[in-house]
Amino acid sequence: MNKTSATAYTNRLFMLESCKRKVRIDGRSVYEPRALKISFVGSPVVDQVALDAAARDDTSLDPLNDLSVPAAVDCQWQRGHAEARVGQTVVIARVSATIITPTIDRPAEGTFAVNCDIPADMPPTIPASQVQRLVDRAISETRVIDTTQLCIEVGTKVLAIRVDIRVLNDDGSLVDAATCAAIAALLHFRRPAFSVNDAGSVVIHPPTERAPLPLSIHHTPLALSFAFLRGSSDMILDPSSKEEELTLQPPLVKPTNLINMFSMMAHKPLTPAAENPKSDAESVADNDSEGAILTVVVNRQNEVCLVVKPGGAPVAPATVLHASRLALTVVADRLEVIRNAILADRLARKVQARLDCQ
Amino acid sequence: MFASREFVSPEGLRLDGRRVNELRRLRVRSGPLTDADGSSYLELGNTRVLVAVYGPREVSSAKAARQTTQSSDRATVCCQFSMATFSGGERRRKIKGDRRTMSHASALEKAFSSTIAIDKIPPRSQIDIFVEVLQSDGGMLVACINATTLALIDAGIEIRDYLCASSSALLNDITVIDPNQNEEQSFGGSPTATVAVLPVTGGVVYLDVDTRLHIDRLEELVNQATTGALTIHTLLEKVVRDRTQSTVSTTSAQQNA
Repeated sequence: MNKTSATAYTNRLFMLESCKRKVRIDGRSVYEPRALKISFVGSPVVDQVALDAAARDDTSLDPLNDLSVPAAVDCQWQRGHAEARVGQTVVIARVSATIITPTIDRPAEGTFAVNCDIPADMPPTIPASQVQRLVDRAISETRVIDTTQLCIEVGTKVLAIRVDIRVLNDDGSLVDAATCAAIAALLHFRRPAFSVNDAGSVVIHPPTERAPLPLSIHHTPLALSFAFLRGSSDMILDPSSKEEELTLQPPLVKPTNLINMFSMMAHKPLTPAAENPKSDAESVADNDSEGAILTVVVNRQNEVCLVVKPGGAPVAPATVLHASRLALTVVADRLEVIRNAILADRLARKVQARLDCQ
Repeated sequence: MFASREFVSPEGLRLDGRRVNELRRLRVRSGPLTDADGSSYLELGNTRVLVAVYGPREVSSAKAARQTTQSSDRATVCCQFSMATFSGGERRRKIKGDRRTMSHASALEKAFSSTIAIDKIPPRSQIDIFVEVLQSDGGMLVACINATTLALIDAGIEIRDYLCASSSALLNDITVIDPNQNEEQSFGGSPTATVAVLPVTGGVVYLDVDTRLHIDRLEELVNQATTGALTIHTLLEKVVRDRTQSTVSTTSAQQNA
């Protein structure tokens, strides 16, 4: 259960020391994010050879050229089911739509809810409830979806959009991966089309009859985490779970013999470490100061949607502003990754549809 | 409708008559509860909170026991946050245990865990903070943080520095300091920043910026809230000094008599 005991004492010292020298254990520099990978579950997987062959044959296969796959064909593949990988962190998000009766105070508005499921046998470094609250605030409270567009019939039928997020593996920055998966799934999702018929009643069309429509999305915010390791004044971007651990307060177990070993490894004279209780290595570990985690949610319009620092070590206000500016570029890159994944998926659907016809 | 209302008049006055950089009236009482180890009562405009602090004492709650097993060398801070049924505009029976109060409680816990000089507190002990909101009119967490700092000082628990909080909001492109509920909820939730700082170093311990705003406005919003927190620090410090002065003079008078 307790993750602080997962990393050995000497390893933690090593990580703190190397972080002071601006190197991280996975070889990244301090402001370098891990690569984001987006894939869509239940989408056709077309191999590269077939894609290349199809692209050579037909220039109309440009992915930007939308809706050439008939809805009746397209609906055999899933939509709105995305998997995001940030390093070893894996999160899936699935969007679903159901028809519900609206509340009395908002008769013409659909609902939008985010549910984040973190398995109990995989407790994240920061408490699960905090992660869930952050994801909820980042996605649903920043009004990503225009809920007024989800009304089918005022007072009786509206669409309820729901995003179910599930964490498959945690290697730090869970909130970041969860928002990426959720936004990718929302952009990929299609809701059923509906219209009013001659008799004046509302008809919901099956996908074989009329093409489902994308959701109307106001903006696409993504979260980015920053960690302030204890004993170090610098922040690091996109921490892994080992690095997140180092923001917590350390247990006060002081294996003095190990400290001596460490100072030997660091080519330091053994005697001062043995005699002087405040050797370099020990002062890092002894320092009761803790680290902190800062989460910034920004969108492509250079807007800050959320900045949360729940406690921990005090940081300068200027650092927070710096972090927000860094987040803008990283989030823009990640949104580009999501966009490319959606375009690639569109192309794969076109090619697969064509292969199926042959 | 609220949406079309002017929140700041051309003369630079807000609806409640304050200027944009003016805090609400702060009234504080240190130690109103005699049975608690430390307590405080704080009014920030119409927001009223009462805080009681107990400890450091033996671990009693299940939550603290869980935390103690996780880190056996430290004292734990436990916070219970509740709002009186009559605290809001409408009477609400079940106000405890919902998501918002839980997040306020955990925010206070985390912020004060790093403010209390935890290495000076006996390990495996527990400090309890009980916060009761009697009336809420915006800036609830701000009032709670300031009141808790005062109650901790009253309890004689060692802290690194005062933890002082304030908030600011962006209304129609104008940054106002210490918004009340009306201003916080304007335009369906205007951008607000809640900041808690340690005044001597100026380090931000707690920060929460909500709802979309352009990044160029972030600095101003955070700076205004920090300025407010520093103003509150001078006010709180005066209260603590005055109270200590009067305690000292009464004890010495008793000794002389």
